[in-house]
Amino acid sequence: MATRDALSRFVHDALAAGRTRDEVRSQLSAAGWSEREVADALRSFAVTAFVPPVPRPVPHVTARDVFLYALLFTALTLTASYLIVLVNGIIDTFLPDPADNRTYSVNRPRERIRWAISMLAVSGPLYVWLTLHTGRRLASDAGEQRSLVRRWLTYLALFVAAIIFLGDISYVIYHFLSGEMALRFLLKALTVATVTAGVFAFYSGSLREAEVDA
Amino acid sequence: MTHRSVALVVSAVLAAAVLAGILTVGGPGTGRKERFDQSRHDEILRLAQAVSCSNGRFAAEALPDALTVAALREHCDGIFVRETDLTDDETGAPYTYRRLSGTKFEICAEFFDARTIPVGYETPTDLVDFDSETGCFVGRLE
Repeated sequence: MATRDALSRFVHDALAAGRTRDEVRSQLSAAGWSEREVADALRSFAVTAFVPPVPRPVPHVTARDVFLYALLFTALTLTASYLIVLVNGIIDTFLPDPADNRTYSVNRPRERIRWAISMLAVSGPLYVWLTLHTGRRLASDAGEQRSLVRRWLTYLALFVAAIIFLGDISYVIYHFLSGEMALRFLLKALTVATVTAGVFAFYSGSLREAEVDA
Repeated sequence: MTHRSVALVVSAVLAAAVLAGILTVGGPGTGRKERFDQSRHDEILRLAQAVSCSNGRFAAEALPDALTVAALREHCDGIFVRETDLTDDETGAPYTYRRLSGTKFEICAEFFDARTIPVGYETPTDLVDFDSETGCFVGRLE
C-alpha cells in the first residue's frame, strides 16, 4: 500500500510533467484514494503555472511551542476554574442558605475565596502575559498560525473547558435538585456559562482564522 | 477579538473579582484575627467541656468555684487543661467564667467576629452550646 509520501511524490511528478489538477484528481480517485486525501495532497502545492510545482508551507512542531502553549493553556484552565470558585464563594457569602449543613461543614466560603484569590494571583498574570506574548508572535510571523502544537493544545483547551463546564453545571444542577436556593443556583449557573462561553468564543475564533489561512 | 483585547478584558475581570473577594473576606489582618478567634473558640470549648465534665470519668456534683487548672482538675477527674488555655492568646486577658445557677454556667471570650467560626469544629454534645452573638459557651453539669 502506498504511503502519503508516495502520494505526495506522485502529485509533484504529475504536476511537473504538465498534468492538470483535474487529471491528477481523477487518476488518484480511480486508484482508490479518498476525496479528502486527494484534496490534501493537491493542496500541498500552490496553484501556479510555475514548474517544478511550488510546495506550500506545512504545519510544524517545536519544543518551544510545546512549552509555551502547554503553559498558556494550563494557566487558562487554572484561571477559569478558580474564577468560578471565587465568584461562587462570594455568592455563598452574601446569600447564605439556612439549609446548609453547618455542623460538619469544612468548605467554608471564606477559605475557598482566599484560596481562589491565591491561585488567581499566580495564574491570572501568567495567562495574561502569555496571551500577549503569543499574540505578538502570531502578528509578527504568519508561520505561527501553522504551529501544530498551537492547534492541538487549543483543541485540548477547548476540550478541558467543555469538561469543566459539564462538571460545574452538573454540580450546580445537583445542588439545585438538593434544594439549593433558586437565586444562588441561577447566579452560579450564569457564572459557569459566562466563563466557559468566553473561553470558547475566543479560542474557537482563533482556530477558525488559522484554518481559513491554511 | 485580538489577543490584546482579550488580555485587557481578562485583566479587568480578574482584578474586579479579586477586589470583590478581598472586600468580602478582608486582607491578611482580618485572616489573622479570624485565626485568633478560632483559637479562642477551641480553648473556651475545652474549658466548657471541662466544667460540664462531659468527658470526665466521674460526674461532678457542683460547679467549680473558679476557672483555674487546679480547680478544674479537682472538679472533673481525667480532663486535661493547660494554663495557656485559660487566657486569650492574642491579648493575654483571662476568659470570663460565670455561674448562672447551681448547675448552669457560661464561659466567654472577646471575639473579633464569632460568626465566622464554622460550627463543625465543635464536638457534638448537648451539655455545651456556643452563642456566636455573645461569644460565650453556655453549659450545664452532666
